[in-house]
Amino acid sequence: MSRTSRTEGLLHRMLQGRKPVSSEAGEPLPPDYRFLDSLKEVPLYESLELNHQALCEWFEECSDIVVREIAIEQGIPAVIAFVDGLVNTDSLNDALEALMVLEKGVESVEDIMKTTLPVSQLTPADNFGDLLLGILGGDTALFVGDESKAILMGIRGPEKRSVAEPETESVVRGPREGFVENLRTNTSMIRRKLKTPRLKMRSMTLGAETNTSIVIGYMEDLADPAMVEEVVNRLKKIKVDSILESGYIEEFIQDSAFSPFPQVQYTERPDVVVAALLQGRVAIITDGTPFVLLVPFVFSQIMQASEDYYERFQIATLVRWLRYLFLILSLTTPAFYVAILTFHQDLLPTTLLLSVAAARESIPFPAVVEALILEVTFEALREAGIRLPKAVGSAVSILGALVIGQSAVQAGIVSAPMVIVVSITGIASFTIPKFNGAIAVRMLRFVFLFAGALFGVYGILIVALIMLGHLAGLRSFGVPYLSPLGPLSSADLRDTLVRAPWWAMTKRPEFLPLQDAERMDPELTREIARHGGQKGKTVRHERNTVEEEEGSS
Amino acid sequence: MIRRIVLLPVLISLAVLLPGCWDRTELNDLAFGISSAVDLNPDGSYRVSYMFPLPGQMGGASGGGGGTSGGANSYYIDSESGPTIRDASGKLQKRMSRRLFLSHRRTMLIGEELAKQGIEPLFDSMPRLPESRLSTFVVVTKGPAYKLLNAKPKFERFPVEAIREIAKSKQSMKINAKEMALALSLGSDPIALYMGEKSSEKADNASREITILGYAQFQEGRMVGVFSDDEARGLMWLRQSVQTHALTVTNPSDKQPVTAEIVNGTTHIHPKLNGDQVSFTVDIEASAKVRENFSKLDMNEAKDIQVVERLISDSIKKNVQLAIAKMQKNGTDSAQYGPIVWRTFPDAWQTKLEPKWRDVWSQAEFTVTADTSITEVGLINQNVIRRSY
Repeated sequence: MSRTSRTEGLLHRMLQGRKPVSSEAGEPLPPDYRFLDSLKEVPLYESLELNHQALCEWFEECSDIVVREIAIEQGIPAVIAFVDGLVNTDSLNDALEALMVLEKGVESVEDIMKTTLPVSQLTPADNFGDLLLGILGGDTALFVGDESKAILMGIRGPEKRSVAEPETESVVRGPREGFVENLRTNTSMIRRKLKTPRLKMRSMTLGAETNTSIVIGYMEDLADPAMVEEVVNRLKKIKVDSILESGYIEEFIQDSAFSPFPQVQYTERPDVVVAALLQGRVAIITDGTPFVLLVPFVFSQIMQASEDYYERFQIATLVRWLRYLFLILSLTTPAFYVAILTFHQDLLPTTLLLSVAAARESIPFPAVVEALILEVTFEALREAGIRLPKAVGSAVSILGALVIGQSAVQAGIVSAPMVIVVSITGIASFTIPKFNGAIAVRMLRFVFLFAGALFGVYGILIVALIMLGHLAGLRSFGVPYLSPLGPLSSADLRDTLVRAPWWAMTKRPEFLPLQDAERMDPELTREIARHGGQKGKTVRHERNTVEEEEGSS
Repeated sequence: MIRRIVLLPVLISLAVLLPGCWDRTELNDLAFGISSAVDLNPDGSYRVSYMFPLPGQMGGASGGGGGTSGGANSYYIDSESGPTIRDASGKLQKRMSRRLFLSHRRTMLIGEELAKQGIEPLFDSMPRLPESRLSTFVVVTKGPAYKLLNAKPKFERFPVEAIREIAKSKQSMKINAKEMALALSLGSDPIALYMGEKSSEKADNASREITILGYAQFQEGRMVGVFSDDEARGLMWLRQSVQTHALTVTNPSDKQPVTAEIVNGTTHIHPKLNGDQVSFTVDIEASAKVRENFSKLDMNEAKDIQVVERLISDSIKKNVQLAIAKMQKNGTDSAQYGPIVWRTFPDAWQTKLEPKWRDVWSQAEFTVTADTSITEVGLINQNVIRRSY
């Protein structure tokens, strides 16, 4: 109990606004608040002066915020407030022009909204919470006369990055658009692909200071309502000062906070989000980041790339097998190499063993130390390469290849086979499509390496069993992490180890909670299965000697 | 949760520590004995020789020149004597800085003297050591085994590699330790590869090559003879494992040779029980390719091909008879027919045949038939410069 109250006190101090200034009426001016949300309870004053004063107090020393008194036609006083740079100045000027040449006088704020302002997005605000959120979100607030109501004009014209190809998930074939930092651009990209009113986008705000807008997207009548509720509830529990990236949310909402395996997917691609929504999954779109979260997320999805579904199914299947093979290689190659060299020398063919022994003859380190040196160097190279500008990055890789690959071997510090092993491992880890899954593998590789170095293949097996046990116990929003393999749902195997052709995937994945599993009308599927494809029976060509098939069963 | 966090490391450490798998050995602390040679000293003790590759001189990663340049060997051979084989190995270990590691022993050489005295000691020492492999090829050497270890065949980096490659090549029956042990444990008579050294001929610098001489004939654990040339070929048929080999037959009409290569063949053995005696019908089907034809036989003609087929069949039959004669003379069941009889007539075997199998075997009668089909006469049917008749 005491711990809770202390935290709250700390949070309170951290989040508390400035000391209130008393107004003439004895009320604090501007109203005190802890979270901006709490101001939603506080109505606007019925006095333009007081409202103006409150805004000025709040935005004192905020050089980017403009609070300006104006007089519209017939000398009616008004106040506008907006954040400089978030507002489209041209549109604002148009709006002001319309106000200032007002002809028939002002009856009420409602009147202005209905008849005067040439702005498409107008929302009234009657409390300070909505008002401040609106202004800080880029709207322009307009107070007219002594009314407890303000107009929020949605004339945002913020600087935003243009839609570009996503760098983390590039494809050979597939859409080349990626999300940007602007929430509304992102939701519009999803809506453009999913033109149905059943796509719902619930909105909420997270982060006491950042007031980051969050949109929870799901398909009504398709996603499990309980799942949506669970997502909303988990999000609502987050009480933190800031949400700067969806990674913050991910760590708050995942089922097992300490697991190295990701239980939430992130993506930069609208097509991936739409595909997930159509599987009944839930998307969490965060303002200010191009990375959209998708839940639930299971292990087999780590090994799937969006391009699997755009390319021919045969190659997609083969590539998936390749990925699984390299997943295992990436996890265990250094471990097996060290284990075999230090425990099970009898497992290698004699000639191979002698070659390795010859290469290792002058190496001063035990195999495990050698492996560690190279693995750590490789990780460092990778880390260095990520942060650097592209031009310098290539220099790093050249240095790495030359220094590590060539000189270290020649100097007899490390052996050539070990360089090969580490290179294979490095390449293997890049074949995992989902980067957060690759990170888990990257970390666990060292666990395997130590187990192999201490206890040989036996140790590797033990670690593998522990890892499997952990994976089997893991849940992502209640969905078992190893599904559809464990628990087995055989119908879903057509999109796990293989990628069945689209016409064969008549059902949506069964391991995910769904309301409606039917994906397509099975009629065409039956036809394709019967004839091996659509044969174009109505197409007549004079050289087309193919007889119309009749009575084929 | 806390309990689980505490318990987990305990359980993990128990799981990994209790099996006692704590014997990490670095690669450069091991001496790989890739071959061993066992000989009998005149005083009755055993001389054990090992061949160890020297990884440091094999031209490793540092690149500095091909390892075997300058005549330096990339291996060395050392030997020691002792009352038992392991005793000798122990003495040898005293002057080795690396542990003797025998998992990669791929050939085991046995000196002829030791083979004649009996190889039972080897089959105690070898299987007792967990490192040993039963897939090791067992080779009896003409003369002392360590001498063959010191041969210098040109093709391979290590002499034993040459021995192994010859032993597992298409031309020889693959006799490894497991097969010998199996025969010995059934009380039967094993065979082993029999190899010797031979200088390369007519070269400026003759090298000491290794050649297969035949198969050592054992009576239980004692070597009593050698199947060589035709006997060895006959033995292959009798053992139902015929290997590729060339047969040269003479065309009786013009006394010119024809060489054919046996590529494939099956042997059907039908034992027959006549009271206390056993007789065997051995039916051989062979397929052969004509490789050379100096005779006037025309390979276009079916009747001429039939002549060659008949000649080859006769030759095979002759070889088989030679092998049978060799076995019956020394009273060894090198073809492992005892187990066949056992499987066919289990009761008779147990009651009356097994106790005096050696006598029964020596008096057994054989009916050998051979049927050869020529599957291929080569790219040409007859000599390219010969005119048609």
